[in-house]
Amino acid sequence: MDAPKLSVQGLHKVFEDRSGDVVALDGLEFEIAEKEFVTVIGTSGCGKSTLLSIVAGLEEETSGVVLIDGEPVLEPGRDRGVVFQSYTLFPWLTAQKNVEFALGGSGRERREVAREHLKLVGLERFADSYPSQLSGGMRQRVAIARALSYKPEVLLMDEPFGALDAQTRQLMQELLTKIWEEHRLTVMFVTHDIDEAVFLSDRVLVMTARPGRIKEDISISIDRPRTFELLSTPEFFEYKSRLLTAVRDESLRTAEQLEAR
Amino acid sequence: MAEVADQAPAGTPSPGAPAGARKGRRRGRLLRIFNPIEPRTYLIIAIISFAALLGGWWLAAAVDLANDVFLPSPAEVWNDAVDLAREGTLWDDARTSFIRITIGFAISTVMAVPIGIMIGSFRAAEAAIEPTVGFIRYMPAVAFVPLTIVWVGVDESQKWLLIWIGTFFQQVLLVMDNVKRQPREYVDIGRTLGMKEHTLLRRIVLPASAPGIWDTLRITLGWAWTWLVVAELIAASDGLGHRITTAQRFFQTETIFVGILVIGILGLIMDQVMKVAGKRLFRWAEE
Repeated sequence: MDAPKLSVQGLHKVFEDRSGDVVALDGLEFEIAEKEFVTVIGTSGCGKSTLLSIVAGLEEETSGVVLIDGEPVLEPGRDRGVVFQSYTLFPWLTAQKNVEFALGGSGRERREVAREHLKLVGLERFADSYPSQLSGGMRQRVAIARALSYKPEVLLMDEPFGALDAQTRQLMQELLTKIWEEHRLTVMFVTHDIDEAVFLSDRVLVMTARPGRIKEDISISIDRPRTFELLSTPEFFEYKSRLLTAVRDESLRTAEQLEAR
Repeated sequence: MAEVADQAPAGTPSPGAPAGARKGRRRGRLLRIFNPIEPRTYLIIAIISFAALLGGWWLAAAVDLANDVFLPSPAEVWNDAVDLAREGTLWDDARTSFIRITIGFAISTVMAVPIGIMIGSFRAAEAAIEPTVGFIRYMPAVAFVPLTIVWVGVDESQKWLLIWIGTFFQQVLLVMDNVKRQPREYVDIGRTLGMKEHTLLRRIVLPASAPGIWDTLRITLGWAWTWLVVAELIAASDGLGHRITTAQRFFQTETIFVGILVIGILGLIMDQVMKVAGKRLFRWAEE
């Protein structure tokens, strides 16, 4: 096997709380290969977003290391593109300018690259709209266009469709799959939605309830291209029920932890 | 059917009532919490209210509720305003006051905005400045009048200084708040794009908090008028505040009224200009 694109080794994260130390991540170990789409799934509060923040370089690990192409992550950088769940666009800039914001080079170059990426997500007609004039799904598409526009090595997505309604969410998943299948890049996707994880991923990592560890590593060997018809196939259900069981155990533990407090 | 709907008690569903009638019924309720009203109704109520105030004043003066010296009639005030305008004193006073407030307010703003942005962005800067400013803010600006005269005399700079004392400290804290209220996520996005602190401040923090800062300026400009007038009442040889003090000495109550009204109108105009300019500058922040 080739050297992994992204490698997480012995990652610990401890928060200091009024009631003492809270272990958010407890020795995470995993690798993501080049051009692989990997989803990290877990219950709320399991530390999956913390993990993504550390990989993005926005938060510091307590111990352990994150490697991209063998180089340790020390701070945020343009080798990683990030799409968050909310406040993803700057409201004072148009869709076009939001994408251009991420780009260097001459004005003309920036305009062209931005236009091209808005087209990729099907929003070239809305280039001059402000975020307040766009729907939630459209805003996330612009955010994806921006994250892709500067050609990062790895795309990090933190529940990017979490705030959308179910129908829009499904459409967004299809769009993302299509873009990914055409352009193939390394993706680390964080979600708590099982359908989303199965539909999008090559591999799904299930995290335990706090303190977060990798509990299961499941390869999703469903053929691509994937379309929405996949959602009603037996093999989809098979993966889904397997993940459901794994995640449910952790949800129960989270609920117990909350009650014990 | 529509009549039936009109008479129906609140909350009673009236099937079959035309939609228009139902809507009208809702809209017609002026005493319903948060109930919207027609823009026309709003305007009419506003005009009536204003007219009632004016009418009350006129009536009080007409029936000699108080001695003319204490309460001049609207007509007397108007005539006095026309006279003062014709002589030119009104314009001179208004111009002097306007220039004073503009300069004092500009000095304060130019200092407060960068400092407010810094302490809103950096905790260390906040620790260094916020407690001190927060303390000085509670010292009444009026109490500084004697000090300002001792320090800089009674020329123009004394007026600017007083406006500055009354405005600057408030502005700093409000601007800090405007900055702090911005979502952390915006800066996080900038970081993931490889931006460093000065770029983050210039390209994200500043534009994100600009509409809030603009509102702060609008509000504090209103307050600045108070300090201008205070400065002029106590130690000035011209300006609207000075005109009021002089008028008091000669029991020219109508001139006092003119002064007060002109100050109010000037303040209102500046506020509306700021409001319209803000709407144009920050169209994206609507909704």
